Amino acid sequence: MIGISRQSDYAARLVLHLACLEPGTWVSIPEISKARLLPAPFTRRIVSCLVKAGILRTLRGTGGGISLARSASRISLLDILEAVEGGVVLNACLEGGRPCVFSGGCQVQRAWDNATALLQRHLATVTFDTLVLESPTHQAAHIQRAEAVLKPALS
Amino acid sequence: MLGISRQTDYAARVVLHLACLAPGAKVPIADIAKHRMLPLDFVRRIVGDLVKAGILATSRGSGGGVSLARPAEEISLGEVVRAMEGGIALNHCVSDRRVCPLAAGCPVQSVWVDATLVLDDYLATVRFSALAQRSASHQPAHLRVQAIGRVRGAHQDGLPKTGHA
Repeated sequence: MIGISRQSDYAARLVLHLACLEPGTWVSIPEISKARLLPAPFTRRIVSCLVKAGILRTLRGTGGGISLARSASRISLLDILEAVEGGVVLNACLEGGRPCVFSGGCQVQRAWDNATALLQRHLATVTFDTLVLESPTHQAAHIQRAEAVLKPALS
Repeated sequence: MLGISRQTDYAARVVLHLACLAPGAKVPIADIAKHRMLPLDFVRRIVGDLVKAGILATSRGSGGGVSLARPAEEISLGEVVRAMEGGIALNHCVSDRRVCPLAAGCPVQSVWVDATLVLDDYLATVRFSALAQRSASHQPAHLRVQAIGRVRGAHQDGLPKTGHA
């Protein structure tokens, strides 16, 4: 199955969660893990990828946590995939470093290249500010669901 | 990395190889493996999957071999991807909505669905007849490599094992 990794799936949810909050809000990793029902160690790894890519920033100490490093309108789903998966490349022959001796006239390679470009272009148009607009009721549903799931465990 | 598997890469090359031949041509699996510099056992498995999907046909006996099960213009790259990968679904919540109880209102899920459709629609338009037509000068290049014996151990010779079609 062609698909994104679990990491990218979680990374997109995490960024959406932050994008739904007031700009500049700091949230702790355990808090976001709880709200989105993600395993905390996994979230930590994803956060560090996103920090390195300049999508998130971290602040230590009380009142610290993570927040978006730039406005949600300037973060696309393609940015997330590039940060977490290293990019969208449908076939190994499109990666640099090990060019194929036949790639010059190869029609299948051209088709993979076109498909990659289409996908990249599409994902670059999806920015988190528009995803947030579609999310007000959805974010609340996540928080309710997390509370319902975590309550028995906490009590 | 978001991408197709090695199997799909090789499967597309196998189908293109056959699409470049005269319609109805039957070729032994070993020939395709040689010309396209692919491991024979791997090609056998791939051919099995493509036969099951109705893309290739096999016939036994002398003069037998593998051929396209239908004209190359009726075979798309999307079909080959589906036969090998089981489908295109950019995220697991696209192929099985039950994995997420909140999929219904999820804005990210709908984006993965849209992106999957973009990819699916494009790959459906890529027909092997068109790929073969534009390969007229490319196929002989593959045949020459076989003639100079750079088949096995191509990697050591500086020819990457992946990436040539």
